[in-house]
Amino acid sequence: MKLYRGTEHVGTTAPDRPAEQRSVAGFALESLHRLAVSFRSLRSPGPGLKAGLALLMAVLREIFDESAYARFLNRKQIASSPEAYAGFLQECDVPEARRPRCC
Amino acid sequence: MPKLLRLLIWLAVALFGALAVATIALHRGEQINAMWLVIAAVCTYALGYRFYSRFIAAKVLALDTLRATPAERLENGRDFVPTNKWVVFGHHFAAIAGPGPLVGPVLAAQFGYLPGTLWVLAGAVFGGCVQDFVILLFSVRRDGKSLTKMAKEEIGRVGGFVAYVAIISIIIILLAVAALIVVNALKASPWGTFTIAMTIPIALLMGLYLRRLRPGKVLETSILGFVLVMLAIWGGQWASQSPAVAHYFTLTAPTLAILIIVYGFAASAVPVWLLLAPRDYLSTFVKLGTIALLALGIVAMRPTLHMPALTRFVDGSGPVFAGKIFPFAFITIACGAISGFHALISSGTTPKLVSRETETRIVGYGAMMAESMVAIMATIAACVLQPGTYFAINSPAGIVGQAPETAAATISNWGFPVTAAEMHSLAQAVGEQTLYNRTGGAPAFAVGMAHIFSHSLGGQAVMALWYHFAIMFEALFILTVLDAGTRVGRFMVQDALGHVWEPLGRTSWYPSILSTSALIVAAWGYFLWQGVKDPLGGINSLWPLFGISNQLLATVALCVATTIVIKMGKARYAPVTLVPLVWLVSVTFTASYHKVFDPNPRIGFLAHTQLLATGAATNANARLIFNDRLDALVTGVLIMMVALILLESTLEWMRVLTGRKQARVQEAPFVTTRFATEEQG
Repeated sequence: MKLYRGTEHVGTTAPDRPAEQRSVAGFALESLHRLAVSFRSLRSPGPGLKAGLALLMAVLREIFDESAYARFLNRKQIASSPEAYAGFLQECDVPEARRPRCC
Repeated sequence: MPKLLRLLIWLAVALFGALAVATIALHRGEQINAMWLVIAAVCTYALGYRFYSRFIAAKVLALDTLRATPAERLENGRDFVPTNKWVVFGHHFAAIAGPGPLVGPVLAAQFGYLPGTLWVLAGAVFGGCVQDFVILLFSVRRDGKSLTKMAKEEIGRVGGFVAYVAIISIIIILLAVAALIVVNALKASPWGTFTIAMTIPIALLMGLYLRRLRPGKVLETSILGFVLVMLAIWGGQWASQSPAVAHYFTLTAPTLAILIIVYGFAASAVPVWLLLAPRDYLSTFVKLGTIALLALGIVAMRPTLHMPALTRFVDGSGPVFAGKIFPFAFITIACGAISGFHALISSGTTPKLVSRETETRIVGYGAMMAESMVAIMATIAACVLQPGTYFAINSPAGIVGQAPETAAATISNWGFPVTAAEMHSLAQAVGEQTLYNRTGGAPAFAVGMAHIFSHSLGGQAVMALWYHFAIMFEALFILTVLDAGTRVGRFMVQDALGHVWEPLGRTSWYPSILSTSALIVAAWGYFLWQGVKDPLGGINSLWPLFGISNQLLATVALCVATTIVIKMGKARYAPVTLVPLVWLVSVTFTASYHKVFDPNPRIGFLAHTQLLATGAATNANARLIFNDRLDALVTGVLIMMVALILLESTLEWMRVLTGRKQARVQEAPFVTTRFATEEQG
């Protein structure tokens, strides 16, 4: 799953089947099947659960500015180091301080 | 999914939601389960999101899947970054969720659980979510411009000026009231004070660890900081039980106020990376975790609400704050229903991250729904307490008396039985010397939260730990708001003073940093001091002022939104933003009138002045009279601002609607997004 879009962005997977081709019973069976799959995936993480965890990590990394630091390193083409981090902090010092925290 | 099945599902959601709302609204004299509030909220949000936000997206805003956002057009890897919608959602929610939705509903619970709950649900779906959504979209269409800039461009110079004054006012009053909440939560509480004091060296340590040892590993550092804070909570128990240590951390309200003022000034002047940023990370980490934990606790415990649906205080004689449901419930609960402050976030970082216009719906409307759910959880936390306990904690000594027996007798006479012995054992259970007169909402919320947690995890034995965890959680992010708000205020003052004398505008020039920091800290410090010395507890006068200034900012945001909707040629849909605007104007005007002119001295500033003038001519009285007049003046200035922006907006609408002015919106030019073609290809 791509969490940051860019030129390499990949869109969604195959389109859903047309709604009119599915009956209520078919939908119920499909739902039960999905439920069974999701229970199985809790024991052995499948692609869905992995994608969910990846998304959660991406959310946390964005909230905690780790992604911003990774973008900084990528933009400057440098490796992580105390000096690089100091440069990153210097760059975002004023914008960070200007960002209001809500009531 | 077949259309018929979809229809049946939504019908079931609507019926279930209606049943839940009817249950919470119509039950009288019986206690109800908190899950009814949760069900009512979930169903209302689901319906609001599915139908109302979809209508706004399609008809009013006409979200365009082909239009490139500034994150794509101006992508620089720094401010403008096209980001996954769920990542932006999490980022936006973390930015808008603060102490407001926790404190406001706790204070408003003095009316009973019903008024606050209904206002949170209706206010969010028809007001707050709409405001956040439309302002986010309009900012996206204007290259991520701020609310002040949009107000200036779309309404006029007065609009821009009013937005500026509203932001400065709200920051100063917010910081004062936030600091007052912390003071009231920590006074005479060595455990809580020790824990919060420890968060300062912990934040400094995190800052150094991040900069020197593990650069960029913020999550790891936040987890480390969290572990240290947990140790500080545990250590707080030891500190409170050791007489020698407890002596240093048992502080009076004035002493705490002075310490917070000094801290605010110091935090504003030290580098961001050393204190502000690590504290912000730590508080965000604790905030997200605790909100999730509280939600799980409520679902696991399914507590009963002991507070009645409506209390006798709907008549305006409430001890927590004076005034009737209308308008005071609606300015007491701002965040959680509609908060002008959110418009700053929606026109700040978030619009620079949104990668598709259509995603503004889930980010703007959806994140506000999540914040509203936090307010519902706070209502539950307050209402699971026995009403007598709730009023004993939240009533100032000036109303119920100083002595425990007097306070218990007064509250019992109101029809909410409580005894001094019950309050004493509750205070002991949570590790405090006393829980009387803890105004401000935070201690009541902490007791409610500890009650829920201790029934779900760990039992009564760990109630004191849960209580202090809740106090730490609230104080931590209130102090973060204090750090950040002082800095934001400082930058705004520097921007303005830079027009007068250029060196004052330099953000790195130390004389300018120190003088503008001192100016901002002195402004909120004055209101804090006034609140601490107020015999009515401070919250009675400061929280309504905060509510009025917050709703003033929401008025500015909705004026901007309505103006843009009209200029887009969609005047027939203007009621979407106009109706919440009219509601807010009626609320702020009525509340301001009462706060200034009401003959009841507990409500009207001027009536209180007259009452004080009839007493002894002491210095203390003279100071209280001055404070009341100042509060009346601030309220008057705020309401003048509302009137000004309304007038200018109305004139602009009339000019456009009568054809005297060409309707032209200041949007960035249309550019086709490359994402759409990539997705199709």
